[in-house]
Amino acid sequence: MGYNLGQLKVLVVDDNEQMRDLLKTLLEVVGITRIRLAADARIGWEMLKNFNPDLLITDWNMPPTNGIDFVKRVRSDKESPNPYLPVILLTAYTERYRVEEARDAGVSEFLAKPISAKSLFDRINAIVEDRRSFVVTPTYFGPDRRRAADPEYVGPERRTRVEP
Amino acid sequence: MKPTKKVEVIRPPKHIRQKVGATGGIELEEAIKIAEKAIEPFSVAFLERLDPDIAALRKCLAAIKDRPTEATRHRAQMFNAANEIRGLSGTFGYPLATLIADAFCKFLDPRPQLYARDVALAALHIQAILAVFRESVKGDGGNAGAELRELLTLLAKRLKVDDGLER
Repeated sequence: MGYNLGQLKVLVVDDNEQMRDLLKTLLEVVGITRIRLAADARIGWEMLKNFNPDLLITDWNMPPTNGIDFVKRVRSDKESPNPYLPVILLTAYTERYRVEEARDAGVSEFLAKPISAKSLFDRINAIVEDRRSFVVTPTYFGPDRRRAADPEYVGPERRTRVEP
Repeated sequence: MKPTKKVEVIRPPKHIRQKVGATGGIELEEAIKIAEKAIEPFSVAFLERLDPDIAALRKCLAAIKDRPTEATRHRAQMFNAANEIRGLSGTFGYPLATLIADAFCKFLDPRPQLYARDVALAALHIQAILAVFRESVKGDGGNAGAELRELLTLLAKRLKVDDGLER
């Protein structure tokens, strides 16, 4: 780790109280004290607008809403305070098609449950070190889904670089 | 942000790095040590938290054994309970429960309908999960855990072959 994370504001959205408390405890270990906890996406959305966090950690499965729809709203709603917000999606779903669904919703990092201190801290490090740009297409807005440039790619370059 | 007709690449106006000091934070190894101590008290509450899911599996087990032809009705409940168990158990000292519940979820996920043979396998997964908690099998479960892992691996491989996903 080594990074000084003390200035970060983090919003945690999870319907499981124990998981919220656990995440808060782990975040405090790495010096993050400005933490807000929400039990569902509706409360989370209100907190997001008022608290304007630097990082969102959200669960996927939290009826009646779900984390994927929440992430899409963060990315696309005109009231979103930060459509570029880094998002860690927390879920026990590990099936490949679900991981791809999360990626296509604009999630920055995927954290599979059961979580460990190491897996969480590794994802936070990855977010801090993430150099990816954001991509807008007719069907997607979110972090570049290509983790690395393909040096062997020879097809047409369809992307246009724009300043925000 | 509205999707556009063409593909655009945007450099976000601000980055989380701008609020993070390059040094001065806790080192990863030390943070993990402290964190592992800090989460110990959560283990007891964890078992209480899982009570409804364990009870749900027990109820489903009785129901599918009683009326195997109606097992599909219980599929969603079994999946949800197993999904909760796989997501939490490993964090709180029960990785074997996570392993079995994960195998069970992967078994149920591609099967919208449960037939007679599926019921027998579903029942075995549930019985194994219940046994882990009944016997408080923490950690990897020793030799029995190793045998169970081997069996689950073989079973998963066999199911992939039967489902036509692998030869």
